[in-house]
Amino acid sequence: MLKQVLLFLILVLPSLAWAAKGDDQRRTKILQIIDEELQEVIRLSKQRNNSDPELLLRAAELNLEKARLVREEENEKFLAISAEERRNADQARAYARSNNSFQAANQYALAVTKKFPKYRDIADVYYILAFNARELRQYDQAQKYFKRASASAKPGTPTAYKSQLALADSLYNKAEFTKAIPLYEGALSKLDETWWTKDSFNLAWCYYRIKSYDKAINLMKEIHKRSANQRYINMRYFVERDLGIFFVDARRTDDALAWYKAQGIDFSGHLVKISKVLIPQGKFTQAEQLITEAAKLSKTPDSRVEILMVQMDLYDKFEKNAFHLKAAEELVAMSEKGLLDEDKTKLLQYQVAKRAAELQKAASASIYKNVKGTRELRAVQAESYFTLLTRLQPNKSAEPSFFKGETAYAARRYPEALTAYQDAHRAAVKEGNKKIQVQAMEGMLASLGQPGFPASEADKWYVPVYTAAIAQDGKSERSKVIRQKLYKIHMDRKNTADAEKVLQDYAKAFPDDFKTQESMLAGLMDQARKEKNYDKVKSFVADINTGTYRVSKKYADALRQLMTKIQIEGAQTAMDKGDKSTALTSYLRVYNNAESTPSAKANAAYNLAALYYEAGDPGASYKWGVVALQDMSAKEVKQFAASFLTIGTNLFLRQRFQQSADMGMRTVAKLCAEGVAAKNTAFKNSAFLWLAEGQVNRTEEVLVLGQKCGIDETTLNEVRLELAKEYVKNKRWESLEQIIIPVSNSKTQAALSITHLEALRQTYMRAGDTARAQELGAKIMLVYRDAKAKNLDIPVEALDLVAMGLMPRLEQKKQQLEGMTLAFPEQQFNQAVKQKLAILDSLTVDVNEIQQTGSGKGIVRAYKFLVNSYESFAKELRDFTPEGKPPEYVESFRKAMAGVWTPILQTAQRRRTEVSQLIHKNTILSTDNGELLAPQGSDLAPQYRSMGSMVLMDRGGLQ
Amino acid sequence: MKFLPLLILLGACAGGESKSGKSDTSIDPAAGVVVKNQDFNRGKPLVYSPQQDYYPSPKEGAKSALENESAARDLNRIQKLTGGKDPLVVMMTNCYAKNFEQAFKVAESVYDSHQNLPTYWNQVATCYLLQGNERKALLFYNKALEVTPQYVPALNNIGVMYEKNGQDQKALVALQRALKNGKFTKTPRFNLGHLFLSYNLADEALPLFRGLADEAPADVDVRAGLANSLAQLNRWQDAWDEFSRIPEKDRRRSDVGLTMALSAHRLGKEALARDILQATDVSDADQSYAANLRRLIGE
Repeated sequence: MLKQVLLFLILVLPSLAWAAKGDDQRRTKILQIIDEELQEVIRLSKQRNNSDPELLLRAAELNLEKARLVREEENEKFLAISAEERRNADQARAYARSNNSFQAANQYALAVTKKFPKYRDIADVYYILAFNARELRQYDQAQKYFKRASASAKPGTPTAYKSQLALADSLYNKAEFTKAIPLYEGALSKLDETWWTKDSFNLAWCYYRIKSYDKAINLMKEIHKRSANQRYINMRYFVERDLGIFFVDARRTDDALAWYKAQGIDFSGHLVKISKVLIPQGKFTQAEQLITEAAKLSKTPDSRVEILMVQMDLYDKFEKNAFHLKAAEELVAMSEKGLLDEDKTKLLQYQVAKRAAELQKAASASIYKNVKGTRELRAVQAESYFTLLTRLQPNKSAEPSFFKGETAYAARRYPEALTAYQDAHRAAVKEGNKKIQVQAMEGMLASLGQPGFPASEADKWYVPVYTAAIAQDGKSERSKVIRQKLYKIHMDRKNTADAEKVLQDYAKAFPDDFKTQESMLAGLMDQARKEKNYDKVKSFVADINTGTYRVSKKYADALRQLMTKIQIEGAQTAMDKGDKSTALTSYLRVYNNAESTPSAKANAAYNLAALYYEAGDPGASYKWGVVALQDMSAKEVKQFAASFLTIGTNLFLRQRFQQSADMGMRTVAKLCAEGVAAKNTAFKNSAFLWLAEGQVNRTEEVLVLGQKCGIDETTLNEVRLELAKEYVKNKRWESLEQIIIPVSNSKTQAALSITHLEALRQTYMRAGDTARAQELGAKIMLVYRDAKAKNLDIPVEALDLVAMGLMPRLEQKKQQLEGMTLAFPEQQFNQAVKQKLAILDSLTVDVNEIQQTGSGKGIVRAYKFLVNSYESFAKELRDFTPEGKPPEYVESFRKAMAGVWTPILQTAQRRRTEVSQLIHKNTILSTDNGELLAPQGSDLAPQYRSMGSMVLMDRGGLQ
Repeated sequence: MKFLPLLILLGACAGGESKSGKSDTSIDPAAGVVVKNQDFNRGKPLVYSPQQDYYPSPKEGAKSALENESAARDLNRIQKLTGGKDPLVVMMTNCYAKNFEQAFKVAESVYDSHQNLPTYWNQVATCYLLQGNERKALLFYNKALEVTPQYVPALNNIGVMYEKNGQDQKALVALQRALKNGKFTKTPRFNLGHLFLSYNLADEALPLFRGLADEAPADVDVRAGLANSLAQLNRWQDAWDEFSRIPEKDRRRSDVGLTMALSAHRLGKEALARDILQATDVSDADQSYAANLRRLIGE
């Protein structure tokens, strides 16, 4: 009886264990019972010196049972710990108690087989050993013992059948279904007991495995039916679980539905379960069919989740991406509603991530390089998965978004890539993920920079992308380029406000980059000009002036010019249209505007001067000309010097001498450092006009200015000579000396100073400073001779002066001649005549010398001396009568003297004729003409003096 | 930025009404300006025509050899002839009347229309000469010569100006140049003749006066010049004949009476010589010469 009980325990306990799964109290109680009995059995066995096989067998049975129960407890504990801990746990230690009991059971059983090999119930012992080996997964050993148990068991006994079933189980476990089936069939046909349902369950599976679906299904139905009976182990759960699979594989789904319906079972859940089973078996079609049916039947969110999870698994293995994605999307949506538990959420995440990665890989694989459609599809799907990932992990969406971008980029879906990169970037910013921030920005820029990026879409991206790029990395060289691009985009859109903002930021980030700032400023200002937003242009210029924007001097100058250009634009437009009145008014407005640039004002002033000139208003022309000369740069005045001369000349022609002179003076002052011919002209004009106005002091100022401003010496001397005339007229001798000396030292113009030097010389003479007078006399001769030698022009007045300067010598000789009295004795007379003739010869030489001067007046005067001297001497000889001499002597003497004085008189006459010819030929206007040209012998030559002055001529007269 | 090309404008400037009246009030930028576009259109300046550059002769015949060229010796006649409409005559009349301010107002008023006429500039210069400003006179005579090179009146007047300053040689050059460029003009001949006579160049003076006397027999100045020329050449009878053609009232002039008296003396008409000399106004004559003459004639 004991043996029966023991065997029962061994066979039933596993089922009990199933039934009492998790029931610790019950297990503890049983173990308590087992331990109590085990202690008693061991004690008895020891008392009998272990010679009673019954007790040894019993000890083996109890240890085995204990081992299985403990193992179950150990399993629960082991599985209760975390996976991580499980991986690192010491399994031998964890299962030490059960292992000890298994070994003890084995030792007792082996002891029986050794000591009592012919023990009548040896089959039970082998059965224990077999069972024990199977538990220890020593399947070969287990099969060996089961075979022995079966062989040693008495036919028809439960042990024989159970051993047969155990053998069948072993074969079943080894997937030797064909071999297992007869063992099952044989045992089960004889053994109708509690375990029939369980063992038949294995047999049904064997049928199923060898595709005897109908047998399998029928047996399952029978098992299910019998399980309702308390006599049998209840296998309905398992039948309901697996039968669906059998139906499905037998392609009898309708039968399955009918059967399950007949059983009142929620079929959808089972279908799901079946599908789960089918999937690992690679039976995807069936699984899909079932799960599809299940979906139709699903009524609760949980079951829907379950179905979708299975579908996702199924489609994953089946690589039905579209379906998988659909399932995943629905799951994600449900997840977002909190309908998925943590495990499922993790599983979903895993699935989605896995698919995303695989699809991304496929999209970028070279195999699809030339299969655009496929590649794109993969990419789109991958992107969708990445999107799902972002939904599943909203707080860690940067990375999946980035990968989504990468996928789209690889598939050349640049706009999509850009969107994803942008999402990634935003998320990365939130998450503080610097790496993704950088990578996403790179992706955004790369996408936007692709030639394939549709232009129609690009526009909306530039600004946000570039703005973000700058915000992320505002100091790099690339940032420079991006900022410039951003600026250009704003400008292209005529969004000057934002373009200006870009410029402002650029100036802050790259203050030393003049060139780019200049370029941006130029664009903005140009636009402002087009919009006639001059206030804006002015503000830019102000910003430059205050250093907000740093630009090169050249550019700053150009801007100022631009500003000027703007300001005078209206006036110039009017000018171009010929509307001079408006132009004039506009220029006035420019000039009066406090905000006008100096350059604009200068330009306006100049043009006003020109316009007033053209309008025939010399006064206004002058005033504006003066303003222009003040405001314009020297270079500008140089450029338009001819115009200023014209204005000045016009003033002179309109009798505005002082204004004209003043303008000339200002022009010289302005052009002081400039090399331009107009400066000389202006200088001369100014000087001469001041003189004409009688403003000697102003002329002197002009002269000083000219000396300072590099007016050439020739021109300066021309003015000095004119001033000298004024000084002579006004008896300003010191001023004359100061001003004429530089002229007298001129290499080419010194001769022009002679008349003034002479005036000065005479003044010194009158003042009693003969030394200085002599110096000046010497200077005059020096200058004269030098000019003569150089064949330079010498004024007639100067020649006359030089000639007259020689005249005293002639006068002296004439006086000497006249002072020498002829008187006898004869030797004395002859001596005197001889001396007088010598003097006459000397006079002739002097006359010739004077003639060399070229002075008409000098020549006539010299001839007068000569002719008079000859005539006087001839007369003196003719009229001489030796005193105290006899008449014969006197007569003889007179005759002899006639031969002397006649030639002398003839010479005089000849000289007179000579000079007469010279006078007429050269039209010499000498006061000595009358004396020389008057008829000889007349008592009084007629003298003419005209009434009043000559007559001025008003008209050209009749032609 | 444009700057108006003024030099080009210069050529384009034209006549029309003067804007001088508004000049001083319109240039104040704050006051605003009213210059109409038509103000810039100043019309075309007159073009000089030598054929029209003369004073008309009187119907009754020439009393003055210079009547077509010079008004100095007969202002009233010229005014009457022109009816006072010719602005240059108005200007000239004012100049000779030493009403210079008015003269220059007239000059300014016709600037736009007359600026290209040498006559205009010659007249402006003469005004300054009469005003005593030789520098300005010379500037505008030169302007006349710039407008019309070798413009005879300007050359003549420059000569006159030099002569006035005692620069006779320069005056000679100017007058000769005037004559060279206006062979039939009378004023340069007249002036040259007097210049020559002043320096006893009767040979040169005689043909000049002879020609002028033929053209204007009634011109006393010319006749006097002719007679004096002949006297200087010792052609006393001829001189006497010419002096005799001068009206009695004009023989009191020193440039007539003195030489005429000497001529009578040379011709043995001592009593007549004395009478003539006695009647002669010698206040503007060389007093020593007059004294010598008196001694010679035995007055």
